[in-house]
Amino acid sequence: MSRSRIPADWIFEEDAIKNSPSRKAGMNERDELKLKREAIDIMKKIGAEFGWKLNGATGAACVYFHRFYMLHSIQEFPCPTTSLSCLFLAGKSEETPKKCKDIAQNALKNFSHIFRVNLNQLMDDVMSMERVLLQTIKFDFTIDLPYRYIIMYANDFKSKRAFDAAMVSDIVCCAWPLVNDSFFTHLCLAWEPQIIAVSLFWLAIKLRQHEEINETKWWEEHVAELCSDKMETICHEVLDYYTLMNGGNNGGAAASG
Amino acid sequence: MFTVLQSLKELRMAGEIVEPWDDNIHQTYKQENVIGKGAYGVVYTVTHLPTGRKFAMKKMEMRVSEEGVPQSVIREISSLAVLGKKNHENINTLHESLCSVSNNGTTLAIYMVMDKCDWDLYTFLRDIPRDMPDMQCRVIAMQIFRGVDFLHANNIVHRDLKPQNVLINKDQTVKIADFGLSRTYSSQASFTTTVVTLWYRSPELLLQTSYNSAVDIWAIGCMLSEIYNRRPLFSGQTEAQQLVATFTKLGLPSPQEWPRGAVIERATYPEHPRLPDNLLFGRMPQEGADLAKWCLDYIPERRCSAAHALLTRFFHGVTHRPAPTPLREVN
Ligand SMILES: Nc1ncnc2c1ncn2[C@@H]1O[C@H](COP(=O)(O)OP(=O)(O)OP(=O)(O)O)[C@@H](O)[C@H]1O
Ligand SMILES: [Mg+2]
Repeated sequence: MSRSRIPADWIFEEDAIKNSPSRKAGMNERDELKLKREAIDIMKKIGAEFGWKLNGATGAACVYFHRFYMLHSIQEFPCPTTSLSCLFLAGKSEETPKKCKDIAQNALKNFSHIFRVNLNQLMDDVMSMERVLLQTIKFDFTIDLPYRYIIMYANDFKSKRAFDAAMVSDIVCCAWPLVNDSFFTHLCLAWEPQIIAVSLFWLAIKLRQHEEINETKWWEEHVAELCSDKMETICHEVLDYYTLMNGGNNGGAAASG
Repeated sequence: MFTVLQSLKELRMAGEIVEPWDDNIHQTYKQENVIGKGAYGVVYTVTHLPTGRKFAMKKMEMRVSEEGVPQSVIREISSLAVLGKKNHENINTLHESLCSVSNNGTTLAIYMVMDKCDWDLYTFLRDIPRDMPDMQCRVIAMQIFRGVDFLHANNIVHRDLKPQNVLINKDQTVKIADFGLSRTYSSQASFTTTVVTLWYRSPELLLQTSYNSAVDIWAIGCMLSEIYNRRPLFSGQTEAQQLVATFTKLGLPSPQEWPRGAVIERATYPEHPRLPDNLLFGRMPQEGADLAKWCLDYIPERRCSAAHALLTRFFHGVTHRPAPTPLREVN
């Protein structure tokens, strides 16, 4: 187990993310992201079958997952099992527990090409991983996700700025899936949830062609010293993900999905 | 190759997983003497090897169930961690939680590393050579209320407040400890009632009806008197005795005051008048006795809140941290 220092708020320097344990153990960036995305996908699908929300247990599980691989390498602990343990733990910490057996069964049913072990074996693995996970994430179970800030900004727009409710909800509908997809990136390791929320809200405003709103620099009352360059960089992480998914198509279309 | 999914078990058999849980802990913390034992854990003094700082480390062991680490444990530690980040000066700070698995994965040990304090209030009251001056008592009481106010504001009922769970330092700072049994509460929910040490238990707990944060206020009421008089206010050995001890001093609750849904009927107890304040509260000044009475109201909803208590005359002009009173070392 690598004993790198964990920042108290789990927000890492770019350098640390680039030099994750998996990278240090010789994996390239593409493979690392690919394996992680595969596992995030597992979490999203199983979470959805349980009726969990990304703005809830599934989202927490994704964040546990990203944090875990800042301290351990994928070579040491394969992503798929880790993703199941993250779900298992997040179910409990978010008060929507699911039995270990249900999680394992679901995984075997939907991802038989990935999990090539029998049920008991898989359950055993999930349980063992839970302890490694607990130790690694230092019992820091309470995860702050960007969603609640999106809701907050939207309410502000409606009440304080008296913007048209339909327009605001159109922006939210665009921002929400952007946040959903941010879990496929390393954003939650690099930025506070407020900053991610502001940036993706800002992007949604752009995508929905309300540039004039962004000209008011509405975010300044929520987060200090956030320039549009920085937001641009943050948004690009998500947009790059779409580019990758669509083999180069534009990102805006995917964002509305 | 990493793309091949190997089960953890195979990896472990191949010796490719190191599980240095216990080692990790002992590499970081050197365990020294036992400083306390409670119903759920043993508390040690430890030295944090990288910094040489001393901490208290509480070790709790539990069996791993079929569902892994119990949800209740996760809930408790996470609320502790959340509180820890908010860092209130009258709450014992949790620095780190660690866990280890032993006995082939059947036992889970959780270690909580906290600030080490000089005494708990029980030892302190037992070992001080004479009664404390009025002001010193108030300063201690005020900090207990502040800590509990913070807990309640964060929706935590301690449920096990007693002098053993109130820590105190030479500089007279007080820290509430041991949330081992606290639960995040909603005022309607009722939980198991088997845990609070009897002496500080409120009648609604003893009579097994639903309860809320007011149980902590009752416990403080008992402690207020104890801080001045250095003997417990109500000291029964069994639940039945504890009720009798309470009723003989405070008088039998009226039918209106009798907790709804109580497991025992009021008629089982003899009528009893309430003792006068000076017999109840000994050397407490009137303002203190008034506050204690408010804390010891039979009707939970009528008891003061911790926030209210801090506004009463008892605490007027009480400064938060007094110049350290020269105090004889008691250890
Ligand atoms: N941080 C600390 N500094 C000094 N002493 C401590 C500290 N924490 C605990 N102790 C001592 O250890 C005793 C037991 O600790 P604690 O109350 O946390 O354990 P517990 O098992 O939960 O006990 P119980 O549930 O019976 O109250 C305390 O009464 C106190 O004397
Ligand atoms: Mg205790």
